[in-house]
Amino acid sequence: MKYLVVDDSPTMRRIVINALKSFGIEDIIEAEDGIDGLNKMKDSKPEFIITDWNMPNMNGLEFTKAVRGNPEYASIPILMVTTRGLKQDIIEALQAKVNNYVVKPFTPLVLKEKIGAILKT
Amino acid sequence: MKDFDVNILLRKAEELKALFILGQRVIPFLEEIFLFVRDIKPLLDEINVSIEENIKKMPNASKQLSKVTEATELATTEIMDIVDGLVYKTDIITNNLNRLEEINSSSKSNPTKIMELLYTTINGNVSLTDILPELTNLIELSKSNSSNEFSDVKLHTAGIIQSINEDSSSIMMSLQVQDITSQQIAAVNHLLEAIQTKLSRILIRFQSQEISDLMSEEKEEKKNTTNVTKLHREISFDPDAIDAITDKATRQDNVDNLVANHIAKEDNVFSSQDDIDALFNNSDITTSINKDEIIESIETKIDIVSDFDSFSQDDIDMLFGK
Repeated sequence: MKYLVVDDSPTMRRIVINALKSFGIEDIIEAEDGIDGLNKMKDSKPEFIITDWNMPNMNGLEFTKAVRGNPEYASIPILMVTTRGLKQDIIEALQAKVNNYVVKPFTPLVLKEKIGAILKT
Repeated sequence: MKDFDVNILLRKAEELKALFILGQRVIPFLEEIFLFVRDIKPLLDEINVSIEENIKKMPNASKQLSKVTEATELATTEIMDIVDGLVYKTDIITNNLNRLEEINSSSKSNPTKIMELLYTTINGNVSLTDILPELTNLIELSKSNSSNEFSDVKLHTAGIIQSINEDSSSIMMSLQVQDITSQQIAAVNHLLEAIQTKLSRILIRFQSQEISDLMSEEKEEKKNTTNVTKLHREISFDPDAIDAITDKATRQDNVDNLVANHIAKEDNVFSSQDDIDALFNNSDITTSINKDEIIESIETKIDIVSDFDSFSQDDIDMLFGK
């Protein structure tokens, strides 16, 4: 299963990828913002997306809407991983149809649980 | 009337005339000054408000930076504690390797001793039964050395290696503070840039531009404000990112309250299985509920069960059903 990790922070991308690898996931591509993410999706078809919210050029929410708006990608599960923990942020993410939401700082266990929960459904 | 008096009177009249002429000439200037003061007053008020607002933001920015320092100190301490543990664990692994080497050489020496004993016995024409107790002892020693202790040390070492893996993972997780603090620093940088831009504009434009231009540019700038700032790279930020770390403890208390309240609320809403079945079996209800209504219902639930704005992972889990 191919994973796409979208985050403008190289540190966070590395942390998420490191966690994924510790779960035995090796097929991972990365992108530094929403636009880069959409471009990468054209070449390599990811089956699971983990995205940050705060990113320049195209943020995670806009990226989620763009993915959901494209029939080819609309069914790909999206997990949002962000520092934003306000009630209205979560509602907004929910309205944009993210599958689940993790607040930073997170533990690998939380990340694993959320991925597992999404894949189970 | 004397000529002298008439001359004085005429001179005074001339002076009065000159005064009136001066008054006539000054009046437009006075009017201009009046208009200028009238026009500039709202701008000065706005500048005053702007400076006041910025000054109010400064202590908050300072507090946020203080939290950044605190968070980095905390993460650094966490990482240093883990590194200390790693050093201790590598010492144990070194000791275990030395012990395994001892076991290895011991397990090698016992068969050699047995062979030597057998050789000496056969070569000296001594009965084998005479060396049987010593032979048995050597064989037992060889068995116990090579099996039990070797396995114990190996198992112990494997456990420590596993724990080192976990420590590495913990270090990676602690480094999330880098992303969070960089967002916070970006937010403070954004604020400083905004203040600098405003003050520079006030200083420069006051000399060269019309007041109306200054005011319209001010409005323009407000429209273009975004949460992205340029440091060594463009960083998009959450202005309250640092709260993700510093409010962790209080968030958890809020979460516990939220979960308890939510369970109580759920108990009240769905009093029985029949109620739930009725909700899902009633086609009128299911067909009439659209997505917006569902989201609205979730929002209402959150409003009811929560008095605070910031959400933790448990709150989010509740919202998503896991």
